[in-house]
Amino acid sequence: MNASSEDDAVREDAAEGSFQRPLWPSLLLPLLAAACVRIAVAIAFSGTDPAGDERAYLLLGERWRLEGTYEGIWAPGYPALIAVLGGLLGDTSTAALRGLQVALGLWNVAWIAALAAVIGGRRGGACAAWIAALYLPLAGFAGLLYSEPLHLALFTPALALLAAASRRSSAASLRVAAGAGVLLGLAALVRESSLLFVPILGLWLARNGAAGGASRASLALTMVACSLATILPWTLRNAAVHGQLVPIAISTGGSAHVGLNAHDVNYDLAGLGGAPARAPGALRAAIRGPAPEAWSAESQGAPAARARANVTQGLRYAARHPAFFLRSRVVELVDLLSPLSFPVRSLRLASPGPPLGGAGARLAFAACAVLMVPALLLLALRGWWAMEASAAHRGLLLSVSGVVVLSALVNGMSRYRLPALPLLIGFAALALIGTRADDGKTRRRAATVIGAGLLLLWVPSIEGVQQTLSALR
Amino acid sequence: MSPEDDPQGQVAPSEPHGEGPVQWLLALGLGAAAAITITLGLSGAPTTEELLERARTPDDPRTQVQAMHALILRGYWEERPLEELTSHLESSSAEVGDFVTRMHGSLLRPR
Repeated sequence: MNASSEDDAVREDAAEGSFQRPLWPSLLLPLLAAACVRIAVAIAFSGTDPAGDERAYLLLGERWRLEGTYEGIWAPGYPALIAVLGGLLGDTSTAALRGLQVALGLWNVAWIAALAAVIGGRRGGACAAWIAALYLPLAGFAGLLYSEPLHLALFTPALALLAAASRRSSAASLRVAAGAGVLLGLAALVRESSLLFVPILGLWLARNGAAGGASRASLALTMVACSLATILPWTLRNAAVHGQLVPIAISTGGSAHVGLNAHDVNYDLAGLGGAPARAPGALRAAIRGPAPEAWSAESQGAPAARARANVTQGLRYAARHPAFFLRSRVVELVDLLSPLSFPVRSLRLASPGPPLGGAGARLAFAACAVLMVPALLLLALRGWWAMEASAAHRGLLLSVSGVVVLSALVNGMSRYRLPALPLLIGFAALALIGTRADDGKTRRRAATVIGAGLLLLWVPSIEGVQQTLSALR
Repeated sequence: MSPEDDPQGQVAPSEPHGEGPVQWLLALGLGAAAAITITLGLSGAPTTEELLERARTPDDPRTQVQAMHALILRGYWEERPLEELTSHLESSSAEVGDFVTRMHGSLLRPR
């Protein structure tokens, strides 16, 4: 063992020692704070009418319960939960669902802390718990009936298991990889785009899994196999119903029609006036430039075949208009990284009651939520670049962020960045409490590029943020 | 990222000898098992005729709705004249008519 690896071992032992002290006593206060924030938000939104996707989720769950068949184009996980709640509780199921969103929010805070503790020790876990508790763009989902909290409730434990599997001092077992695989499979059954994480995280595990018994390739193989085995029953159901291969759902066709087209839809700015297919914002319009003629979605044939045809049409459209495609992808990235968020959007579109009933309270919530987005991203970048963390955990953040960016290139919006949030919070916590590392040249250069890119990509969002905050007055 | 960039960079321990072929065989076996399962699932899927039969199952509205849903997802009714669909609905339960009207009303428009 050379000097450097001895230092590593000492650090790992120290980290191990601190990790063995239980994390949970440090979580009590942040969990209490998380509960207060989430309950307050849930109370504020409890009297509002579900809108958009919320209404669609409730309808799909209700019809599934009554008719025994799932009608949606989306992944079935969240409507299945609504159907089960409806079967158990009847008329009170929507209220129970709102309570469950709060409980899922607390579960997610605890698992984000566990993930951060693996990356940066017990103090990192406690700090991450506080960030997750108070980060309004995440906490605000407790008041909305979206699938994101359920997705994170499955995805974050999978990330924590994988992060633990890469620690050299832990004998990563096949069981850990299998558990992560099952959780990733279940997460993909809640959000279809999450399926992209399975191969990417499999590759990450094949490169970074600790070889404490099973080989890395076995760990990766076990993880991927367990993910696919979890999804397989639903794929077989789809084969019986659609009569063709549909791994999870057919929502990509709709996304392609909106995203790989002339439409400029920004769901975070929905309802701010103007044509629905043209989001407000002079700079974003300038970046996109004139759009070629739009293509129409397939209207004939089986829905699964139509979805595939829409994806093909969207890709052809991109190939025919490469300059517009590249310009419009910049705008999708702008939308993905926008300081706005769906809780802020819902403050504007719904009419929440107390404690968010007054214009002042709504504006304060929205302003804090808007400021928290760049603050977290820049802190996480600093944690990734300048603080001590294993290469494996840095690679995990890059892998997850890469998949998020890739999936949002079809159609970007702030909701889609949530899968990266647990790791971003973990690295932000590292920046606040961690030990500063020697700056690696490659990492510093990468951080400079990423930081500059973030700053540039936020500029076109400023107008949308201004319009949103003005509408809340 | 190079090891100099990362003071805690991990050096990959070498894989145990002889595990490589086993892993490839395992991967191939699992892939083949998944492909066979999906193929069996596709080949065992109910045919259109079976679904039409189920869609008329007396005294079982849920089975009727599920079969009708599968027919719609397969694009069956879009390839048939509207009259065939309306006559099928007339011979089905009220639940099936309600289901089609509510969730797939566009099928009932003249085309």
